[in-house]
Amino acid sequence: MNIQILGAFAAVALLAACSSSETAKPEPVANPVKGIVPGSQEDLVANVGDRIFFDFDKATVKGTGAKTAANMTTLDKQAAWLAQWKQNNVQIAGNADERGTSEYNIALAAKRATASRDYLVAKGVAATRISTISYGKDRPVALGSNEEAWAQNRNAITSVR
Amino acid sequence: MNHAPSASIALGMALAVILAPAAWAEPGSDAHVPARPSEPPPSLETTLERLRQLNRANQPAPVAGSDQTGRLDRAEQDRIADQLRGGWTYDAGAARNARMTVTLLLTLDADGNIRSASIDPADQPHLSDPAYRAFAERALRAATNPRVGPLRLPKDKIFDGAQLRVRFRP
Amino acid sequence: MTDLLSMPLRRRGLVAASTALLAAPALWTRPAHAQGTTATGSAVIDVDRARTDPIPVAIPVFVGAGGDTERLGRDIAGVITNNLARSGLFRPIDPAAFIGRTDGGATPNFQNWKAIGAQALVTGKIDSQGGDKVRVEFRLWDVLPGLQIQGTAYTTTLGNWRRIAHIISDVIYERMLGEKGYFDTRVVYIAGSGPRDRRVKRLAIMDQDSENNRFLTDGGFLALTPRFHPTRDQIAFMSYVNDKPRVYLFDLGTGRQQMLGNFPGITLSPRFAPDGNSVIMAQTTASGSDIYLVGLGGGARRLTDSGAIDVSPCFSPDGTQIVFNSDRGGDQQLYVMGADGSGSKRISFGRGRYATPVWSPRGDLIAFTRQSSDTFAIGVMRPDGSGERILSESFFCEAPTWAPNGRVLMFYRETAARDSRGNGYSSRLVSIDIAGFNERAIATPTDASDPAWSPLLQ
Repeated sequence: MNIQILGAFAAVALLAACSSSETAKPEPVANPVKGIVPGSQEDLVANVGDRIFFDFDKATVKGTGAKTAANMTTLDKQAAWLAQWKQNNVQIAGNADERGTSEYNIALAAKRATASRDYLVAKGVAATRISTISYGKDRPVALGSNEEAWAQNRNAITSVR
Repeated sequence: MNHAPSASIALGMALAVILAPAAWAEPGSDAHVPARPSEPPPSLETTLERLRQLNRANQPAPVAGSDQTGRLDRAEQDRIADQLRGGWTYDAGAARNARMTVTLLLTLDADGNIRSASIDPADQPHLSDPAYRAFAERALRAATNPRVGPLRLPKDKIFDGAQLRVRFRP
Repeated sequence: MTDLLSMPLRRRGLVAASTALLAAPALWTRPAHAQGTTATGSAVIDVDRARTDPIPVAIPVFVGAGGDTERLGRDIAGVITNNLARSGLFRPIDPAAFIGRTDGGATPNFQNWKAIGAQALVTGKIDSQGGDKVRVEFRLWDVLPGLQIQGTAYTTTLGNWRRIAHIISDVIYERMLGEKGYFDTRVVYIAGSGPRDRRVKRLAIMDQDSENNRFLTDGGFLALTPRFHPTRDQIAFMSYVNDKPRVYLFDLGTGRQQMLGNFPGITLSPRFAPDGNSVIMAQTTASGSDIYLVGLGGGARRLTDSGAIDVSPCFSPDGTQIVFNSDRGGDQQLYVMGADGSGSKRISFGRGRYATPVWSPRGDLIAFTRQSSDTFAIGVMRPDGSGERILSESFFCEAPTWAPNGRVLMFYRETAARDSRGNGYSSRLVSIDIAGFNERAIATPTDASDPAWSPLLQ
């Protein structure tokens, strides 16, 4: 779970770095962190960005504010990374914040995982390499009860399987 | 035999026996569980008929003009309602209670105490509904609670056997 | 029916049969009366503005005959007292106020019980029948007229004493209130422990009064949203076993769990059909989730295909209709459709999002969770959506479940974390009367959520 929390911060850092860039062709990212094996889960988290974020009660990659661009950037980089590391299969887990009922949140978070997967498939990743799961609100990454925590928990997280 | 079963129910894990009322003997008897008459349990119809007879026997004889309700002025009626309201409770969450009413006939003694209370015959057919029965019993408890005390009425409107008609509603 | 038709203050009414024998079927309907006169024109004094006070009841310890029976007598009276008190509809009188004693069987001295304000009196005695067999006898007395109104003896084994106490509680409840009780029931729920980001969620079961708690799964996988079979010792729930979230059936007798159906998507939000032969549940799709009826013996039928999230279906008790949750109109609302999926119609129109609809066993109400901007609430509405009433509101609450008599709702409530490490978060079970009073915390050994009330035990 430490990995996921690290991932959240890494993703935020990437958003800041990439928010205005228009990279049409994602390129493999050089490994800036010492000790991380390229193509590993740690590589995905630290150097690619393992998650995208959703608006409240929404399950589209497109979101409000800078979210759309940030999400597309992250997923584009994931697609490129998956193209590079063809032996990697991934699971995308959809999650929801605590401000919703349990059953609906499972279905909503499943839709988020599907949205993320569909984007990657559209970018050329084989659908057979991607599985999805939904945890509803049962696997939050941020444990606070505030807007900031909820925003982090409305996500779809990609991990190497 | 101490206990006279009139019905038994298999509960799977336990045998349940419906106990006949303990009090077939005279009130005040100190028998632990009074023995019940040895006759077989009465059928429902026999029981009902017996109770109808008992009921007739227990009802105060209808005296012409004993119903004083119409002779009371509004203030007197309100005062009695206030006295009876003290112990009047109902179950607000029961499915149909909010729409129920029950009319009681109260029979007074010469001091204005409620000597007995009975359910208006017009309401009695509803007593087979357990929810209505529970509602009506709470009205009876409100009326017969000793804490009600003598009803505050002018002396000229009270006499032994005077009756009042009182309708309880939520 | 002397106790009903005439309730004299003198004790002449003692010669009466148990009223339990006397019920004759009749519909209760009555004309509206004009104020001040009866239908026949007689003058009448109206006594209205009834209070909703609980019925004062005295429950002295059941009288034992030495050995285990003494302890049992105290314990059974204690369980009955606790049940009746927690219902909010009875007020057990403090035994310290009792005058004199009861021998457990004979006609009580009613003056002693009247004097302390008791309207009902429960007496009982326990005899050993040899081995571990006991005979538990109880009587319910209407104190003011001085009448026995119920009496039952149970022969059972010592180990069954709690159930006997619950059954007696149900008999008292039903006789005094005219509605079935709910004390001889259990609650299955999800026990939560550990930090929220790696929360352990186990299936657990306990008696409705929090006793006999048992954990049914070991926490190796997430367990969610259990529901009781209407007659069998079986639970449908959502399990993440093998990282494959699906609806499973759990057998309480054997402890075995078995996946229900074979679906490519995630299956969730199961509820048994009233006949117990099938489960209605949702399966996730690319665009949301659809509702399926899945036979316990095989076979599945899709009932909705809206392209939205259709989830949390629940049958009406007569099995003719289904209420469910859908965001097909833009946000979460409640819809009712026929049992075959036809004619769906939105029923929730208040402010906010509506979720987790559950049809009352009485059929008259649908309980729900309502989500407004800052708060969650548990409420009820009629099946046509009218008469909405909110019963409880807080930072977070959801998932109401009905007591089998349709009188009490249980749900769970979460508190907000007060810091970024999740401190201050809790999840607890709560019950509330559908009249909106008597809210009570339900004790559980750990955090708890997703309660489901069993039917009355067989």
